[in-house]
Amino acid sequence: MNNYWIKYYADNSKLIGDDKVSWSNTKLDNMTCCELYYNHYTLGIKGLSNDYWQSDTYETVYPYNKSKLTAKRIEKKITDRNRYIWFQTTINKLYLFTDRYPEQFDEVYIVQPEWINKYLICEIDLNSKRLKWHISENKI
Amino acid sequence: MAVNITFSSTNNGSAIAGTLDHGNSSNGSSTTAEEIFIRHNGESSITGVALYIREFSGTYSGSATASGDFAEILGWGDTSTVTGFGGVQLNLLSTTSYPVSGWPVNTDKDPTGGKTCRTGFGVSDATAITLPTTTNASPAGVIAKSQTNVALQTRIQVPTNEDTVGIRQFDLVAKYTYTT
Repeated sequence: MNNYWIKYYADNSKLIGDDKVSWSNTKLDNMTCCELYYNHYTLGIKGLSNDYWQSDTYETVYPYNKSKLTAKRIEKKITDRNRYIWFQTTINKLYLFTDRYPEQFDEVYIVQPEWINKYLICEIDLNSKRLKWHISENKI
Repeated sequence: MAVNITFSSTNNGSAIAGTLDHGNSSNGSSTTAEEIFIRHNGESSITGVALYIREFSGTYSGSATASGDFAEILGWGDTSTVTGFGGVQLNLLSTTSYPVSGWPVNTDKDPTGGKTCRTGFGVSDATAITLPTTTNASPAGVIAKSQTNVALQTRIQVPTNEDTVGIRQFDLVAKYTYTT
């Protein structure tokens, strides 16, 4: 079963990790891209940043202490260097680009001033089995 | 590795086993408040910790149906009349020993530190109630590694005009996010 992430860095190195490897305690600076693989789903965000994150959301029904994974996501802080957000998507894959203007695309969004310093969220919703993206005020 | 939550009835106590029985209550009164402590086994903080109720998902042993119970409990919380108000209530003032002022009433369903579960409030993933700092979460919605003192109280208020005796069941769900 696929369940891992890849951090890509500006020096062309990369780091592969999973739930047993701390995202927070491994290098966060100068990332150019991150990808998340979970079962048959793939998420990706591309664009230079020191502020990428990966997180999982769970739910637990009282009183049982067995958690259920409901979402996996990656997120990136939007900076003033990001002019556009555009994406490539299939049923099982969602890839967001912030680093350049698209050559071919389905839809492109021009980054609005009020989006700067907010977070671009790319998520697998495991309840609905849908891939989603949105902009969040804060890191999730 | 999945991060799991443990519910206990005392600070760092044994995990609660089985459903929580709020006991019996007569019309117009509330069940005895139950204190619930929440902790987790993550190596760093969990964030976005929030609670909501939903239709009972276990093997139903109430007096009607799981969907009927949930709709009824929701209706109790939605009602604003003194005789019809009730439902699942949260007192989130652990840091000040759960004063009476933290319990909702029909004219104030969301007093400072208190919540009534009702339409739009604590009844779905999207409307989950984030644990405030008065539960010892710090900041709101965050439970640190090995922290054991985050707690709240719950109770059920039975409306004065309720005319059907019986057992009601519902799920209390905690949602939270973890970054490795």
